[in-house]
Amino acid sequence: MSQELLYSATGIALFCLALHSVIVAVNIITRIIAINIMGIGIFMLLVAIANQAGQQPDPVPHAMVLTGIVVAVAGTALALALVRRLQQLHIEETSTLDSKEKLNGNKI
Amino acid sequence: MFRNLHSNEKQLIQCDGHSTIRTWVSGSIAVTLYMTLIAGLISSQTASPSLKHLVYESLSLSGVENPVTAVLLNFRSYDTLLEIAALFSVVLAVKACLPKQDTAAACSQTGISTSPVLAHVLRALVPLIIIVSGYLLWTGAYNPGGAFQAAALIAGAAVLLSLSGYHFLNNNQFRPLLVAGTAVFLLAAVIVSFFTGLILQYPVSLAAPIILGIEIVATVSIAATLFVFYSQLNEPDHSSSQCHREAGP
Repeated sequence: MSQELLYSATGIALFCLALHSVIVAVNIITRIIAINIMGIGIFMLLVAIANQAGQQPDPVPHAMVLTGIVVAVAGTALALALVRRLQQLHIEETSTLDSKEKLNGNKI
Repeated sequence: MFRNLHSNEKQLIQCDGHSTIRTWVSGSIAVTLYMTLIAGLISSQTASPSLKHLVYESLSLSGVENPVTAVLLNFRSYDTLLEIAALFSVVLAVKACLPKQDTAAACSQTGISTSPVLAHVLRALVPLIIIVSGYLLWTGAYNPGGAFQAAALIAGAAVLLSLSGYHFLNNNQFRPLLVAGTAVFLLAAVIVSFFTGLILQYPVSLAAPIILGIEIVATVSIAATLFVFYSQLNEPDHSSSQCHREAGP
């Protein structure tokens, strides 16, 4: 098995494993990390394709991977900010319910 | 999406519970997808058309010596401009979706440890980080490196400083830094069009200084953007100095 085939297969395997984790995972942070790993698998595939034995590597997929890494960071930052906002809203909502229940004398 | 939480404490957000059918269906989808993609990969082992020879032929006209930097900042500089604009728009979205809290709540939630060990280590480490990131920025023309890598280092140093309790810029001072990278890149793109007729078409003799200037401003701007991604999660509004703590022993 050539080196390029091995690394490409690993990149595709990372993508498929992370896709399974995105669908199945219970914790939302795990899902965000899994989406990141899907991106990393694709980057690995791109870099493996760009390499040709014995010659200089193709620089265009390398540039695409660098751009992709930065855009993945931005997407992860937005996802984490949304999760944090949802958490804040959820805490506000449940604290309101708690105080209402306590005022009414009921237990949750 | 949220389970019924019974306490006020921060809890990890959990999604809907384990379902065996969902696990098996998703597992079979992943395995079939993997087989399909591997089959496609093996069957396409012939050489695909690439632009490699074009890049290496025009490398001397680009102003830098590293082919990847030439592709990123000269031949495909439109992609890099849109990438910096994407970072900028995401920082706008992050600042918009996390509202300001009162300063007291923000200060109490940050969980900053004023450990003297961290402060002491940072006194030696942060100048080193700045020097190394400056080297990475400069060597982007000759070796792997460039603006994004240097900006990631500086953002790491900023996060460390923020963890040790030292807040160095407030909200209003950050805004020009966030805008500067996109603005300078756009300005350079438009100004060179008056000289060469196409936007982002650098004149060959001026390509190296233009690229270096864009990279320097982009480094500062991207470092500020990455730091705002981190700090906006915990301390959204830091316009006052009430949380300011001395970073000394």
